[in-house]
Amino acid sequence: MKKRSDKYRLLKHLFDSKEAFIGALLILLFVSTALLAHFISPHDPLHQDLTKRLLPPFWQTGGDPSFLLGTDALGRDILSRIIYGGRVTLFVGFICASIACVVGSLLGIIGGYLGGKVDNFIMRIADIQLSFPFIILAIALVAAFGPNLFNIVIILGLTSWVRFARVVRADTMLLREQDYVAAAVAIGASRVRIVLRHILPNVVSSIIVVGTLEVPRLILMEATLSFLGLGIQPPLPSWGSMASDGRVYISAAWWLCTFPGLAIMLVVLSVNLLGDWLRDELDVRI
Amino acid sequence: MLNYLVKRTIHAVFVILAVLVFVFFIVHLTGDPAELALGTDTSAEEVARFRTEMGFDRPLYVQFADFLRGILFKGDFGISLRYNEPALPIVLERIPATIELTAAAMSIALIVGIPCGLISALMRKKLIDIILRILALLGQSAPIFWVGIMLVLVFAVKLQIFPSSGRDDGWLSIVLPAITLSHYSAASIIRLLRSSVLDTLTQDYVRTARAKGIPERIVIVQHIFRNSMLPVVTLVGLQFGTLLGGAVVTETIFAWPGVGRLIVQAIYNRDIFLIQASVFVIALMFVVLNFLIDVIYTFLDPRIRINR
Repeated sequence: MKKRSDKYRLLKHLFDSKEAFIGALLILLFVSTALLAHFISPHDPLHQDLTKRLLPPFWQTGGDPSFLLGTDALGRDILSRIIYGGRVTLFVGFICASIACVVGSLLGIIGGYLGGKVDNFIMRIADIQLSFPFIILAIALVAAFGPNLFNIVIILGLTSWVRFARVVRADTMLLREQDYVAAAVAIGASRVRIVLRHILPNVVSSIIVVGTLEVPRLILMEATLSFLGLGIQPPLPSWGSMASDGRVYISAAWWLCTFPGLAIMLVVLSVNLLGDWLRDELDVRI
Repeated sequence: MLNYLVKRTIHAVFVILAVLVFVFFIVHLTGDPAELALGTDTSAEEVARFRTEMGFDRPLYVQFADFLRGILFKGDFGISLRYNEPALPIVLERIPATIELTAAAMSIALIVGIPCGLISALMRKKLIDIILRILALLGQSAPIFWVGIMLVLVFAVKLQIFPSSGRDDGWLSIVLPAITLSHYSAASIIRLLRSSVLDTLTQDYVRTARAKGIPERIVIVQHIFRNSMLPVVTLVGLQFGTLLGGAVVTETIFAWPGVGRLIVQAIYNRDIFLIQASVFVIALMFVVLNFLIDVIYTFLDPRIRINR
């Protein structure tokens, strides 16, 4: 019963905070357009029409109202490509964060609960990884394995575990000393049961907060890789590669690069807004 | 303190070894470095010839021993496939440009971030605070490459004040790349300093200072600002790493001749030895920088000096 009232309180506070509310609304907007892309997008994102290439947005002279944000060098509709590109961006962001979350939390709980050599070993690896610029790590791995959606997701997911592991480990070490854990040990509960029933539920809020930090970071990382040509490959539309394609036409067609970049910024901003608020609300220190 | 420094040195050596292992394995991960270098449209005989020529057909541990020996004793990463010159000197030549860009970006981030963060906190809930907070939030959310392109669009294409690429126009050419690279760090500094100052404002010693009748200007500088800067100093240390990573993108956009651009070009050219050399050098820069920052902290913060 208490759980439920907690949830309502959180929801009520969400409506009270202007920033968080805007963030949540934007996320909802982006997620629903991505899910309903097929129904919302005015054109096929891959359909090329060279007679309609480089049309400006509708409010500029020469613009066509059926292509609201204009067209690219191959005559494809920018708005439709942004709508479909959102699928890739959100997919990569959330799937990578989930992989990182599972791997990181598992290693964090193991390290924090067992302590000793295992813990030292895990934390040493974490230290070493943090002593290495992340983007270089990602670029080098993508260069080795080849750029495609699957590789990007696996590489970004598996290399982002550190922050999850550190936070979960710190929480676990505190929880391990609690009386109710000692009580569970005393009545003969197995380690797995203690971790699942007594520790995991209490680290969830920290995991969520780290997740709200990692999702925007991963979205930016995917966009950056795609921008460098080391990410999502054509014809799949990705915001990063759209901006990269538009760079060539920067003096003739400003809209090619501007709109995909705005989309990235808004998504990242909305998750950041929600994350800031959650961090205060759940009172988690990172 | 000596103890602590020894510990950090051992850690740095460990990391460098890990980097060497990683750099070696980048080209071996897919199983065949010869194919990685030549691509799939080369004939099988040519790939085979290249494989024997480079010794990629030997057992992995022999190759690794050879690789380590070459680097540790001769600084030899092999010959760049594209430039036909030793890879390491090509990379070393590019270091000054990268350091110049990173240093300029950090200076801008500090010059913009510190006053803005301070003003934002002291003018809490006023219009200027709201504007600065929104700008900082946007700054933390905008991708580096997009900021760079937008700056080019406005200041190089439309207004034609600054060059859009290269490093040949003196100080003019560094302005756009440095601003591009600095925006994230500047935004982070504003946000952190703001919350840090707001924390400090509630401290008893600030109230005491004001109650004693110390002029507000001195309270702000001596009591509030100085004590709020500690977390910012920590952040600045961390941000150097972010900047080094961001330099890869910034240098690519502005054709800035640094190590970051070199990595990306080496990848495009499948120049495996140059990839190894440049990844190693940038990782090494990162490790050395982190080590120096750790050392500086021990001098700045007496708590570390005594405890560790």
